[in-house]
Amino acid sequence: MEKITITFNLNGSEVTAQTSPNKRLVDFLREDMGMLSVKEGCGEGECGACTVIYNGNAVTSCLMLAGQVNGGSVITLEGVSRNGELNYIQKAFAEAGAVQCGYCTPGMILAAKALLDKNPNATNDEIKRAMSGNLCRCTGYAKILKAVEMARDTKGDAAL
Amino acid sequence: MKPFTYHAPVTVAEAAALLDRYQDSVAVVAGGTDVVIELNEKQKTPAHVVDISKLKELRYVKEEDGMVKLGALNTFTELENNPYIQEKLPALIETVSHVGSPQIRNLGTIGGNVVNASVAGDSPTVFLAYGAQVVLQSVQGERVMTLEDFNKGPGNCQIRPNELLTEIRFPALTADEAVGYFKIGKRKSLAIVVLAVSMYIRRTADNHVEDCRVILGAVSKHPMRVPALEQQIRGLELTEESLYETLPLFTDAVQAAIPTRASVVYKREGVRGAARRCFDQILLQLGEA
Repeated sequence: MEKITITFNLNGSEVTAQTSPNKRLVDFLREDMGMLSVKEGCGEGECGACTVIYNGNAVTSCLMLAGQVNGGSVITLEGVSRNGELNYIQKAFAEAGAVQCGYCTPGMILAAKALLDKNPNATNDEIKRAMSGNLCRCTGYAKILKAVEMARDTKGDAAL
Repeated sequence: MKPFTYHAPVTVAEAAALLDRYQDSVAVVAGGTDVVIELNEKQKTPAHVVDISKLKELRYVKEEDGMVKLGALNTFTELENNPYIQEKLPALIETVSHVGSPQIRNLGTIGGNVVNASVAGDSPTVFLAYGAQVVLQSVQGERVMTLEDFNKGPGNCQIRPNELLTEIRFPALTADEAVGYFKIGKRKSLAIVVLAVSMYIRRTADNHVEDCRVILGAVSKHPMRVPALEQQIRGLELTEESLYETLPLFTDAVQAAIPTRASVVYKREGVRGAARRCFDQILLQLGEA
């Protein structure tokens, strides 16, 4: 099978990679690009664990073919922190105790980031709606929603 | 996923040429929210995949010659955020804002939703109420057909293997026309349609129902019009009291459509609430609420 060449912006850097066309974005990011924060949960777009930010929007990477990101930009959790410094959303998740087993957390944080990047003053209802595509089986949603509200409230100038 | 050759055309003409060449074994991917799962689970094993997500020319929303025209590649999110739709087509907003999840609305396209023709598809129900047509493009040219003729049930819409659905269009509403839509799902997000009702009403100068369309979604193999109900609603005065009197007829219609299905017990009750919400939306839009 002929390989395809994908040129895209991954976490702020322009990269070019060759891969097999019959790969989903989640597999390409994990296997070819080493982005192991991207978790596969259900594999059918229901759970949100594999959420990444594609061209500014939260998407489930299990529903995209790798080749579709050619020419676009992708942000994974690896691109959210800078030089080991957690960003404000990650800090809020830690502070609120919004992490238990952690499997859903990368998707949760990226869904929150996609919202707050566009709408830094999102209402609590807008937060609820933006997080409604991400399932968590252990923490419970109250702390996760609280964490996103805290992130919104504390963003300030220090935000990464 | 089985190996395939991947094509990513950037114009409709290129896409149509690829579909024509490879029509014996091709899958079209737009938003991918259904097709990528089918590829991954090897339910589809085409030799060629045509990714049409880069066809920027199919992302328009416009009103032209009295028709609303929606490019097939608009995502649900794009339609929800479109100022024209927000102002003129509240039932379409109600529909697209309740599809899947934010992630799915960011990927899924309106054309894909129509062409996939799922039993529980969200948008075909409301598009039937709007009286929509679909535009199909191939190297031979363009075909336009009504959505009613197009959608014959899951996996059985009337698209040819070398055709691309490029547009959904329907007549722009006048001040005397309104459309309502209400979906019942098991929860707010990531819920497939358990039951949906959509309705179109045109009123007379003396505030009676001149014409109407009633569509039930997820009751038959495809969203279905119910002429018997439409006939009962035509001629009624456009008031809450007289419209609500027809609600028991919705229960009868569901009972008649799926008498032996287990879900009939729920759907025949739920349909009255969904129909009532449609009436409420229509009365509100026509300034009669």
